[in-house]
Amino acid sequence: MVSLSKKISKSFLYLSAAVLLNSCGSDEDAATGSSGFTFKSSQFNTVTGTPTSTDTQVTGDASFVANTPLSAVASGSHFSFASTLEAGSYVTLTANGSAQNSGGVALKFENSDNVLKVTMTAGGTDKDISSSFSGLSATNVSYSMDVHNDETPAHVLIWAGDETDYAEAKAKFNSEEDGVADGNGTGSYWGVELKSATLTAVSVGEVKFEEED
Amino acid sequence: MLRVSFLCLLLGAATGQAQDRTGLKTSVAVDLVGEYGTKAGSQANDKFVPRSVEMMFYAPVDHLFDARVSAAAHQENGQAMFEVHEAYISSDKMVDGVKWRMGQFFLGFGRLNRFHQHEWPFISVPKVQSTFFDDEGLFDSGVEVSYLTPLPFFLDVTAGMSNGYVYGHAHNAGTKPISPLAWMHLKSFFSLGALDFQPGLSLVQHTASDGTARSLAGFDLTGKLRKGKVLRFFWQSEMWQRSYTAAGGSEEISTGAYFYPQYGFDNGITLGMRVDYLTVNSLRDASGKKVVNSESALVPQLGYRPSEFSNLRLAYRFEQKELQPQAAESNEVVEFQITYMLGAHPAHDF
Repeated sequence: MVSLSKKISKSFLYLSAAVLLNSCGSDEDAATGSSGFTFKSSQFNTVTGTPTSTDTQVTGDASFVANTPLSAVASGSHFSFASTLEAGSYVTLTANGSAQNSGGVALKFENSDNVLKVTMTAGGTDKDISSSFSGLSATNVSYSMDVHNDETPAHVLIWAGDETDYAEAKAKFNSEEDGVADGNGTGSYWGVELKSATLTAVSVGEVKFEEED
Repeated sequence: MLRVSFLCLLLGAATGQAQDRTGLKTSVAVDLVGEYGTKAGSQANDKFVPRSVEMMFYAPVDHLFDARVSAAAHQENGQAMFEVHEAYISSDKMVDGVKWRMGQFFLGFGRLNRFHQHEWPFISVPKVQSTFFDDEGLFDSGVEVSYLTPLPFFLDVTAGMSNGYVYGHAHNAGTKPISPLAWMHLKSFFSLGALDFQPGLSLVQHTASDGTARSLAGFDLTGKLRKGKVLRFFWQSEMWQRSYTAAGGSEEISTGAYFYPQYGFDNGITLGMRVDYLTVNSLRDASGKKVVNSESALVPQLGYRPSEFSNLRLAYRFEQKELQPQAAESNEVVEFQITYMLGAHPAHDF
């Protein structure tokens, strides 16, 4: 049963022509950085800067993308991360962006004079969503988020890092109620940007929140 | 006098006399579905709900025009939603061989998109359908014209254009697109002995207000073998390829298909098996290397159709998602469905 998709794909011989026709895509979107590293089971390609990675953390001023893409441009994914921020530092997680870590739905968590400032960027427009995070730590930030880029505009939900009930009501931020995103991500990659920040965990998986029919 | 007239109207409606006088026919179609995951962490709803309750009204307007209105109620996240699916006027009596309709309707391309969900031959939505056209299919306001070509073989050409302010299921008005939603469907028909086939070719095009462009090409094939009143063999399949370019992004090419053969017994019992497949052909990793990926499913289904007004179905869905180098993930879901229709229903397409 594990090779179900392979068995099916073999039976679709007539589809292979279409696959072949489209398998000659250019690599224009490939990450430009030549260095890479592995952190928490994910392989990352460095886009800018020189991140310093160990088994437990990544530090530095750097931008990097996961080598394994998301399933499609118009897809939904769940991300979780934990980071330590000093005053003036930030961590940005970008979903559905390019291999240059741009053009996606970006969520920036910044320690602004020991106050947590959160900015959502979609469709090239920044939106300050800090009011949904007032009173929360600006030093130790740990959140998980759904980015439904298969909806128009993208639907973003952010939960506390230790939340296990991924309902809309439990979200710290829900873009359908607290501030609509101004567009969608345009690519199939995800990545992280650090400025003087320490990343201690990051992962990607299937969306946690599903609209019920 | 007014009171008497109103009473007569009510009585007439209640007893169905209005149908006799005006040709107005009404029906209510109920689609009850349940799905239960058999593995921990399954994203199945794990409940039994009315997926939709659809009310339909249709009648000749006069000697030239026919009209139809249908509206469906369904639940989304526990909230009752009510939306107009169809509200159109049509005619096939104005120009020989030409049919047209204007208003809101399910766009006339492919196979599933031309039918209400409660009329589909299976319970769950094939992945290619939900990814390319949303769960219910595309419906919009516009105009559609069909022409039965005067050729020695059957060839029906349909072309249409609609607002395209939204693409797929939405609860907002959307925004003016750069190019409206346009589609074309070529449909033929042929027989091999007792086996009848209807093949079709479709093209769909849309560019949203933010520049997101979609172009789709598809092939659909429906086959039926009848023995008396029994639909002994039924085949339905669609294959689609989509070009999708988000504004400012790179072009993404995806290919998907579903195939559904079904065998029917004399007593109304049917056995079918749906096969789903979807892949993003252009998916590359961040280094530019091609990534093997697919979403596939096998859905065996047992059905019982005592009449054209009711249907009971039980299915098991084994689905698998592969995105290398990650390990493939699988999901198993038991599905069941009861659909029934109160009142008349319009004649179906082949």
